[in-house]
Amino acid sequence: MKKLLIAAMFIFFMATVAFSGEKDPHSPEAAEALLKKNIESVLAILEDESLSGEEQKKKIESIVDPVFNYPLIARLSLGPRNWPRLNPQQRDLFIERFVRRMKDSYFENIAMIQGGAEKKVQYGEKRVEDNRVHVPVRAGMKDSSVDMIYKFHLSEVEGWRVYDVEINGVSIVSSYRSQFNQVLASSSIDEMLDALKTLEAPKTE
Amino acid sequence: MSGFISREKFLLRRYFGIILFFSFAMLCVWGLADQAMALVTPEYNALESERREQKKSTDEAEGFEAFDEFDEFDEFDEFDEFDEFDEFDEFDEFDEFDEFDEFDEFGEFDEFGEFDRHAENVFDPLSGYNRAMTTFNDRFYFWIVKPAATGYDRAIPVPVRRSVDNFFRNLGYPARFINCVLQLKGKAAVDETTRFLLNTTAGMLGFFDPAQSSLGIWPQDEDFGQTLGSYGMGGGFHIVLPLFGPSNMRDSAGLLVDMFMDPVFYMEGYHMGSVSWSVDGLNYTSMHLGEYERMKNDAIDLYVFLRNAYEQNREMKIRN
Repeated sequence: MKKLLIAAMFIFFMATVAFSGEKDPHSPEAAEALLKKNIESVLAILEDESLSGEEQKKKIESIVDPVFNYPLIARLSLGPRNWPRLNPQQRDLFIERFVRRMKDSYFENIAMIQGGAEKKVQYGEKRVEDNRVHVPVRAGMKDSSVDMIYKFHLSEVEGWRVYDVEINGVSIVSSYRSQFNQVLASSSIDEMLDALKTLEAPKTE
Repeated sequence: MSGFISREKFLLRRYFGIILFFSFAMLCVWGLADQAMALVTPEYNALESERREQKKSTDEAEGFEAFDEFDEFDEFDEFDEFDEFDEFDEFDEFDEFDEFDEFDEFGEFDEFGEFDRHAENVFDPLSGYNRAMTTFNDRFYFWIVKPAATGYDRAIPVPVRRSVDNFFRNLGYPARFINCVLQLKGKAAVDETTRFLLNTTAGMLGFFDPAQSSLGIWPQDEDFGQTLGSYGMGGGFHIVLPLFGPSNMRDSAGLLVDMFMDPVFYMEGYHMGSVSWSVDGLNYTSMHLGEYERMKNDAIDLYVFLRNAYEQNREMKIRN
């Protein structure tokens, strides 16, 4: 009898595994689930007041980093006009400096948005297009709300990863690309790379 | 004395009448030009693609061809020709870095064509003026508005400022209502009316916002620029307005029309309108101190950053 029970439990267990295994990590739903899990963890960290600002930032980074496709964001931000102009060394340097800067500014924004959020995060209807999924998220604040769209791209190797975030309609990639196009129309690649390095990291007042 | 004021008012009205007339004339011209361009565009596009086909055979940079197709200002593509030549000249210098992966990357840029609209080949004929005006507005903010708003921020407690904000928002009801109706947004129009009736009575002339705090009805964010946009009108080129900041042709005209829907504009008394608009502006700024500074810190090129953010944000608002 006991054996039967164990066998039944084993079968049940296998069935659950098999059932959850049916959830394809490459399905659009997986991207949505990934985002939800991510935002929940970030909110939990932001609410944890025992952590200092630096610790919070580190923890958030460890959650957010695996989900963002930083090299792709960097390439798209520089754009088709200027990316081919960089040699391999410059490309590595650009990705490194750009990502650092983008992360600083993105985390500041997220901390402000989610710090002010009253835990009210709503998920909109996702938009699926080939290997891309756009998931709208609305963070409710006291007097207003911030609309965000997380854009995921599916790569065979790494699964769903974020390639752009829109905050109130403003795409990070588009914003940076328009600026790089302008800056590189009048100054050289090396000047741009230097500027990216020396530019002060964004600060809140 | 009263004769002087009424004469002043008469002149003022005539002045605004002229501005209104010109703005409508501008809108008409813009709309007609839009239509005309739409008629011409298919033919022009055909010519363009033919030209590109020829280019393709002679040029190595294949992936570049496709990214113009999302360009917002197709009708101004002739201006891009020069850019394109520059681009290919530049590109030739870097032939030495032609690697296999580069061709994949070009494919990648084609795949993510969604960013081209606001980031590539933006038609910006007023950029010189716009940059100067951005600098002016920046100085005006740091030298005058910010010190005033900071003082105001210290002197007046937050609940009072929120009430002032509520009051002015309530006055903006007619404009928002009309624009909801013009965009055929029934529920939004009803929500706005509920808000107005409730906040004007129970909210004591709009100083409080029980509609939002107890019923959870949020104000709509609608203006005439969005109405025009929802009818399919493009923004036209970007223009930075003194004091107001980034705008474009469509939204500047919209702003003017909205002004005529603002009850403050019809208030009796000498310059009451501009005084109350200033108070509204000061009050608003005092509640949003530090936001502009953040944006400025984020920017690599402030003007381009603001232009891009404004146009993208407006597009989202028109879509919603």
